[in-house]
Amino acid sequence: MSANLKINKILVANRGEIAVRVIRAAKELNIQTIAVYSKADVDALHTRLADEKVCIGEPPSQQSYLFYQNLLGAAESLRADAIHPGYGFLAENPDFAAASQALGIKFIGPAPDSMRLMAHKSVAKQKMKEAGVPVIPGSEQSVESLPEAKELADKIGYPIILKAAEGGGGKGMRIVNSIGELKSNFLNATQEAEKAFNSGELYIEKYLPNSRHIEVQILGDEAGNIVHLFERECSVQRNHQKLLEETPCAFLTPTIRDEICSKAVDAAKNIGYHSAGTVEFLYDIDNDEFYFMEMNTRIQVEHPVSEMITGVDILKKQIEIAAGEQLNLKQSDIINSGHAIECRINAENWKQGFRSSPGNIEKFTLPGGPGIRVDTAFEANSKVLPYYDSLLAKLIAYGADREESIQRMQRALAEFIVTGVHTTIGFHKKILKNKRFVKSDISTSFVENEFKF
Amino acid sequence: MKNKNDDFVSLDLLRKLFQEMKEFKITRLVIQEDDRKYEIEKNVDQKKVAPVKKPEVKKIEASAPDLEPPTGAKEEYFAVRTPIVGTFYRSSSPDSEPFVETGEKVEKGDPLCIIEAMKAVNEIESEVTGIVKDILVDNAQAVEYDQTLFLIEEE
Repeated sequence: MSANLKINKILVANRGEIAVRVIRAAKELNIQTIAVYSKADVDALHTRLADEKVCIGEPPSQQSYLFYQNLLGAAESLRADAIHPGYGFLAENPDFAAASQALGIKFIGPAPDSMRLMAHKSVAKQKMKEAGVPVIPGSEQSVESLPEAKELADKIGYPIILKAAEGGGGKGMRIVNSIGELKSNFLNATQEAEKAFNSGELYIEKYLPNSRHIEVQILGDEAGNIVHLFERECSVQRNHQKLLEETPCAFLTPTIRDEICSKAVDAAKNIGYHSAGTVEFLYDIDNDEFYFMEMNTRIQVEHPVSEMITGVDILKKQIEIAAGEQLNLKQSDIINSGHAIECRINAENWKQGFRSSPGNIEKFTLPGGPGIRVDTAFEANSKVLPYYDSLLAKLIAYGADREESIQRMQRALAEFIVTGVHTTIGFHKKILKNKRFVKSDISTSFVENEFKF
Repeated sequence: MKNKNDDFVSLDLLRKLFQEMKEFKITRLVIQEDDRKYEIEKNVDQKKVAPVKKPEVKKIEASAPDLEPPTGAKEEYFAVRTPIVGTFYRSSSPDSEPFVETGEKVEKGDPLCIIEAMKAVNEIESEVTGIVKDILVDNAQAVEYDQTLFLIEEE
């Protein structure tokens, strides 16, 4: 690699709010941008904000945003020197990252090898153990057969969870409470994993029914400097999909916070990680223990809350790191101050099973005022398309403390007016008013336990 | 492009190889160099070139607003569009003649241009026999998905 790799032009291999977020960061760094779009996204905001735009295919993602050849062909022909993958689509695809690098185009993310290591659940766990990071009791390698699964389940005790080794996003996970359930679930889970991830490999973990999802944002440069930007609490989930995230986690003591955050840094150091990344942990409330769950090797949807409390622009750092620059931040420079909450506002009908609600947006009045940030690619008269995910906007509320952050979020939710499509704004209003949420007395089962649909 | 091609097979070499392939009727060439691999595939039968779709050749009205018809407004031309995003070249090498010029007759299956993407050279062939009425892209320009490259008056 050349000693002074400078990035002049970035191709943003994504759409929606994250494409807009990347373009904004690039603009602030005086870097040119190329937006890519499918035929359905001709008028999308990201195509208007970028310096250049190029159509890469048909509306279905497989024929556009996931189609390597056209993305890389566009990057080459328009002379991009870097590609930002955003999240989703090709963001955690090591082959795409490697193909991009082989063409001399910098992939703004970790090395393909780091992505490969963390994509495989049992390999990732093994690496974490090496680094002294606690892992959930379970299988060391993939579990090949039912007898093997039974033996292991007896050892660690029920309930257990069956997971696809190559899985993610909650797909292919099954909670198993007894030997009987294991028998009926093992084969199904294998088949499901095969279908979804082209690999029927399963592994087993102890299931922690009363736990919180806590993750740590890290940033590392290519010289091996790694810092954390504190934790995020993401226990407000539905079907393993995060709905609301906040930082700091009100439940952690300063000692445990330090411990979790420094373990996340150890984890990243052990695999020579660079770029932005997130180490996810499960915090077992009953036993006051935390365990490594997985590492996300990309920018995450919920990164803005960490930006709000630390003042660090994670996207800009990610680009600078990819350009070969060293982190100009020491851990002691990073101070968290205040509290931030993010609500993921989706175009979904939450009163009818959170069914997605594509269609034409009529009114789109954004909230504002002190402490409010909105990341969105939508506007009045734009369309929510059926081909892509249903994220409409990320509404972020910052306050001096959690109470003020909650108050501002409640105010902002009331100001946010969307007509034409269903949204989850109403559901978020309920969460923000919930007594257990207000006390931060929650677990990953919070939504399921508190709300009946 | 500055420094990014230093240790790669140059475009000139690619073009030469491509020319040789044509002469010797080689349709596919793979060069492996350490961990890098280059594949050149001559697009003889477009069905073979996975995962790229066949160029879509749609009949369009020459009076469509974004096209300026060279002749009478009622005439219909075939628009040759590209399914591949990349760099458009009118000839197989900088020194060789363009595959086609405006006003020339092309047979179905004749090469019209090449599009380079991911160091692979894709040849776009005419799906119809007729006269080339217009070439809508300049040599060495970036082309996007479904962009019209040629208008052909079908025979």
